[in-house]
Amino acid sequence: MLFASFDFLLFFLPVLGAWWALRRRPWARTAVVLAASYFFYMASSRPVDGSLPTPWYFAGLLAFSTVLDYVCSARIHRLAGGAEEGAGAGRTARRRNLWLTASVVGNLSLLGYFKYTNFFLEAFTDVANGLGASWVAPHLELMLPIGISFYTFQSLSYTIDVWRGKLTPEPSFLKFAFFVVFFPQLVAGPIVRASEFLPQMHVRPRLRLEDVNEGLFRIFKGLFKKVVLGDWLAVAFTDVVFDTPGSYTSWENMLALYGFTLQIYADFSGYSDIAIGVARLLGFKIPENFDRPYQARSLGEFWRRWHMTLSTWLRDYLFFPLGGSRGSAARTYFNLWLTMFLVGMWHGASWNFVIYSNIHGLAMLFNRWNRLRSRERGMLATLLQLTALAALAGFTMYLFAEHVLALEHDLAVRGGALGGAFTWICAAFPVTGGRLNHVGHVVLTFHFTVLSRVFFRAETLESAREMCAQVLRWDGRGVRPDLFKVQWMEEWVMVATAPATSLREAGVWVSQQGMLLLLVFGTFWHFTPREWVDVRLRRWMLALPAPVIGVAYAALAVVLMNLLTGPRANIYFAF
Amino acid sequence: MSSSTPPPPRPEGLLDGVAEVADAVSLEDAGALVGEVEPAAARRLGVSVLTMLSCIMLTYFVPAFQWAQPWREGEGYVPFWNLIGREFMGQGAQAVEREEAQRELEALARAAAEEPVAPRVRVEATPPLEQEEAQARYPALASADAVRDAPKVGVEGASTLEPFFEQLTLLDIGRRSTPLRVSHWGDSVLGNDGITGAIRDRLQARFGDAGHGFHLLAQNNPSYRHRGVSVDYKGEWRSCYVINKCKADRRYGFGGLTVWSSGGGETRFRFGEPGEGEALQDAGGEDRFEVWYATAPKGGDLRVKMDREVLGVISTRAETDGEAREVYTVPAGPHEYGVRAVGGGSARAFGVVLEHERPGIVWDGVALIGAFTSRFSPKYFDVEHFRRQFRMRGTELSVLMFGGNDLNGFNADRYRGTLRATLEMVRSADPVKSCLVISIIDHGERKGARIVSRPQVASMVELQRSEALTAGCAFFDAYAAMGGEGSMGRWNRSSPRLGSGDLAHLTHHGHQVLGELFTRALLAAYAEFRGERVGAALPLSPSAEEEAPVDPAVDASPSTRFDGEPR
Repeated sequence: MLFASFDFLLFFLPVLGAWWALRRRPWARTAVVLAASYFFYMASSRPVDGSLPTPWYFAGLLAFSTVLDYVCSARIHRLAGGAEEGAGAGRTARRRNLWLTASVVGNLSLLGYFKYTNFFLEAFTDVANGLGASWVAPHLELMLPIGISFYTFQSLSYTIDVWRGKLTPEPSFLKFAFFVVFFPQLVAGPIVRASEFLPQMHVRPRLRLEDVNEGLFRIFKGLFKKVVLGDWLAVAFTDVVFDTPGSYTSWENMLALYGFTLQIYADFSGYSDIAIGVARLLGFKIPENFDRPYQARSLGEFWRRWHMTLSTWLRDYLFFPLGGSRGSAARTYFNLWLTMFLVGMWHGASWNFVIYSNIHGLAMLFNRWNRLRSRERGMLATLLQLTALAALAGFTMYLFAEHVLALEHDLAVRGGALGGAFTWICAAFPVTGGRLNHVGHVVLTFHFTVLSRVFFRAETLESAREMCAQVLRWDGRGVRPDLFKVQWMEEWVMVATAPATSLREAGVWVSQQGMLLLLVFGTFWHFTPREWVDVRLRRWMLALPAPVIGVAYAALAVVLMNLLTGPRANIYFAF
Repeated sequence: MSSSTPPPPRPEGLLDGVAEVADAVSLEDAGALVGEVEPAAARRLGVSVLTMLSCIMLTYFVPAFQWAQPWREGEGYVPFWNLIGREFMGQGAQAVEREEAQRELEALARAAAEEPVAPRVRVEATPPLEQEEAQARYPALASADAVRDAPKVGVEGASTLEPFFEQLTLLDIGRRSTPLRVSHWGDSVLGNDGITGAIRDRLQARFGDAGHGFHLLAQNNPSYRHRGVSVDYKGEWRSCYVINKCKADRRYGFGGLTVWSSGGGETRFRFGEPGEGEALQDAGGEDRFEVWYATAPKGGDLRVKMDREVLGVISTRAETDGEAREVYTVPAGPHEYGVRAVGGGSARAFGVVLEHERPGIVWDGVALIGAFTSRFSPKYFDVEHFRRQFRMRGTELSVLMFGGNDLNGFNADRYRGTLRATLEMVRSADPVKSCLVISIIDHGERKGARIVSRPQVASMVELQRSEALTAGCAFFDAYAAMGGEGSMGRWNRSSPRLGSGDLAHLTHHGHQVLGELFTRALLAAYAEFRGERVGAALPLSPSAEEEAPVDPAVDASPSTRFDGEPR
């Protein structure tokens, strides 16, 4: 079920009512919301002429994952005492590890099978064909269970924390199952860790005025971001260009990249806002997932602010166990690359994501090297060092463009030159400085994320290639007049205003530039100080009387309903 | 002491810090778990929700607000539809059927996208039939060449394609020594050479690759791009595109766009996918590069280069206005060609042609982006000029795919007249040659929760069918091949995505799928033709002159053979 749908309203209000009505019956309210979460998971929203109903085995997989982790963790905990002392300590420790392995393998096997099998087959075939074979990869008809990438990590955090001794196992299976399938964050996060959520199941739930205010504000803000800045921009602009990038000019492709950069942020952070708000109305606090990531000064900071619950999960459960940055430099760089590679590959299984993951992995290595490199050298030595580095980066980019993307030679050379120049600028830019320095870092980081989004969004490598070629070709043709037009708005203006008036002219201009204005507005919104929205706007909204808030929600619903013909799934559903 | 210790710097990036050690979390109930609701919180939440619900209810009781109803009876949608079952909405069997069709489509899309088209074969020609061999008979089609998957939508009126199929047969059995040309005109549906490129790949894999075909000297739109052709537009051409009705003499050339320059206008071409040119070079043979231009009393010069060496200078000066072409025969290979106006007056040109001098298929992709059907009719074109261009090209089959732009403000009677005029212009250019009309693809619009076909689509397809068949052309129903009503919505939602977000064009994968569906239909009609002709007398193989006609009116110098020496 999708949040921005009428179905969700019909679902959520009774569930919310039941949860608080049963506040004196802990078992009953937990059971009701548990059942409701399964219902939420299995129910689809519009459109109805899409795919057939969600297969029932999806719910089975969810239940299997729940039981597996509950049983494994209980066993691990039971063996914990014996692993520390006595003659059989080694054997007991091995048995604990075996239960942990069962949980990890069981969860990751399901994820791997449904999400990565076809890609592994394709990659194996591609590599074999590259070596001279002539095979055609078989394609398995696998449907990726919704939310499997999220709930797998969520339940794994529980088992691993119990194994580490950082969490005692949940005595109640009902509560544990509730944690795994809690509907606000079930299908697209935030990824909530057991140690953050389960303790909340062991205190009395309270609905305070502060929770209501926060919940209503976050849901409203999230709906606006998700539907207006995310879905609408996608339907009316970015999807159209990304579908056939070759049909659009270099500028139009570039603007589509900016558009998608805003869209994906608005889509996912809007969804997270709604999830946080809904959970808050039920009395739960779930972690933040975004912290205005495009304001980051560096790529490392960007990933600290983007999809925070995934990146910190991989940091805590992969990067640190691998040794983090405590080992040798080589080991640290390997750990960094591997973590970032997996962060990237978590998002999807295709060659595009292999490229995307490596671009970000290598950029993180550069980021660390550049931050720690000695700045004591003389100017000439520094200049030589940076130029050599830029030349290496440029040559790598050229090879990539020529041989992986198979761009025309001239374009590959241009791509290499631009890559080298970008690297040089990033490396030479002073690490610290005043406000301008800060702006410079933000602009560079932002553009790195914008350009790398080609491989994130493009459906195929061919499509990514086409978009890269269009941007590098830089045809200087500008933007066609009707690309940003909002047709219905223009029609409405023509009906609602008198002919030959300045009001009509202004209205027509706004409707003709509609999507561009939205793109500029959304980007501006993102770069405003946090206080403007999270404090002042929030305070202003919360000062409104409850009936006004109710009317505002109704008005927003009407806008959302008429902006799109049906709710669009969150982009991260596909991951 | 602690107050004098500066706080540790906050790690800047995600992976810059070290693991924090936290206390173990114990999961024990903190007292009774009886929930509590603050009255103020309940009031605020309750009033907000009730107000919102009241507003929603209002839309069901006040007729003025009906447009804002979140759900209406009879819109084919019930909340939680997939759990209560489509049968409840009377969509059970239909939905299963549609789902199966969708799966088939996606499998086809994946196959088209992932299975490489077989390498382009070289068909070695046997000598033309001698008079005494004129009694040679049609052989049966080899079983390996038969169509394995019969198309659901075939070519209608396929008997009108017999002249083309006869030539295709000669090519197929190795009795045609030069390219067999097909010219495919259309609007933006042919943008990026998507559909035409997909058809070309498939037919060249089957019958041989005789080159890319016709290409303009300037883009009529950013979407005018050809796969396998790298073009660099340098300098300043002035241009006039037929849809702008900007040339009083209405001579827009074979591709609907003419360029001119008194000096400096230049276009460079490199044909072939990476590595393909080298393969051709290794295989030997010759290529043919043609420059199509207009003659005029004050015409200037065009300098033609190959690999930065001058092939020749064409003087476009002549006593009268007319058109001509210069043909260069060069060793096969991955050459770069350049055409540049070098002064001496204003040189006007229409395009270039690149072919391989050997048997095979050439499928011209002539996209008139943004064109209404009427732009490809006597209303905009000088018919005699078009006729001369058409004959100069030596096209055996004309394919037309217009109509997408005519959907806006569609008027059946007016459109019938327009289409009839277009078909007459093409048919009259050479009545003996075959022609084929491909209908518009489905065009969708969003209605409620669904993407439905625009209401004019079905009527336009019917009209295109009847006019094509009446004019003696074959017809392929692309709309039906896509799946008919609502198919653009399904193509848009399929994975990989086949229909573009504007619901009027196809994606790269969509081009491949439609190209595959059309090719199957054409080959099925060809197989049927061959089946009917087994044992019948073969037509005489055309002579080289017939295959590549030379018209004294347009061929100023019939052919310039490049001997490797710069000129």
